[in-house]
Amino acid sequence: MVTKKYLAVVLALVGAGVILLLLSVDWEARAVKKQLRALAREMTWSPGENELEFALRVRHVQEKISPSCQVDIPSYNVSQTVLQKDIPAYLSIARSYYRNLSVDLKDLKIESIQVPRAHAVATAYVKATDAYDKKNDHALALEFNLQKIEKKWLVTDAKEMQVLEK
Amino acid sequence: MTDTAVKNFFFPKITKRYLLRVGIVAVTAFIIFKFVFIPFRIQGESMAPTYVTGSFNFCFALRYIFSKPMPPDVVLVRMAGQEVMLLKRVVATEGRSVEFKEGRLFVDGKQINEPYVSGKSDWNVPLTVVKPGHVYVVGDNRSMPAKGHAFGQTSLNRIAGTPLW
Repeated sequence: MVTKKYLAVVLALVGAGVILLLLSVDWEARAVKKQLRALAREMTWSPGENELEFALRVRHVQEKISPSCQVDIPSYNVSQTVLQKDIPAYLSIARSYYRNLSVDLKDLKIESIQVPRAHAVATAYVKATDAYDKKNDHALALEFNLQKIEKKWLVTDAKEMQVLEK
Repeated sequence: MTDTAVKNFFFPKITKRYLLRVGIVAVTAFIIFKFVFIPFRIQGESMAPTYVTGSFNFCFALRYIFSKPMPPDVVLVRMAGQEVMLLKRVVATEGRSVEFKEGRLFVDGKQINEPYVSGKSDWNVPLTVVKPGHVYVVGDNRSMPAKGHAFGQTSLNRIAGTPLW
């Protein structure tokens, strides 16, 4: 009888803990982080990538970008408004310029979130090799603005932060 | 050491006291290595030959609690967080002018002797005045082209600490 009583108390405590844990999780922040990490993964390619994989990757990138996205990354000479419909062309150019590229997001933090808008910062560790085998690796401090459209967080701005000002 | 002592060392009795000790050691280690001595591995050649790629060090995060970085301190510059940081040398503080002429560093118009720099440099960087609350940082490896080298002024808020050795 005593054992049952203790078991019930322990179960109640564990249940309360789980509920508290679930309530304390910021699900929107997690969704934003997940979306950005997935976008970074899709911005990774190697020379062995076939056309089908490329087409799939293009579609996945399109799904994570707003219809009009402002991209300012001076380290890679990118500063323009990218339209969702133009992403296949941009990625195709990037793929022909860089033989392989990988993006790894570190220190990803949500600075502010007020549905439907979110602001995040991260350090992107970009490793790139161009068509002439020249390496162009950079660690970039990036900030992202995202907007929630039809239950999906889409990137509206991606901007390089100036850590060192020349 | 007796056999019992060796056995007790490797296979201790799990008592309340033992668990408490393990807990205290774990929490202390977490605090020390997360906030005081942050371990890092150097990647890149911008601080060669002083610091070479692949070497291991600790960032002493409490170094600038009561003081500000001064030349020629080596500092770690925070990017979005502390997982990836830039390792650079402070060459000028706020209000000072910095200029590179034919690879030589001039601060307030005076040429600075830099024994830590080796190799020829042809850098030419126009005069810049360091803004209030900022320091000017640059790597020791000036033999690489200035275009491919990350340097310039950064906010004091971005200084995470200094390497331990």
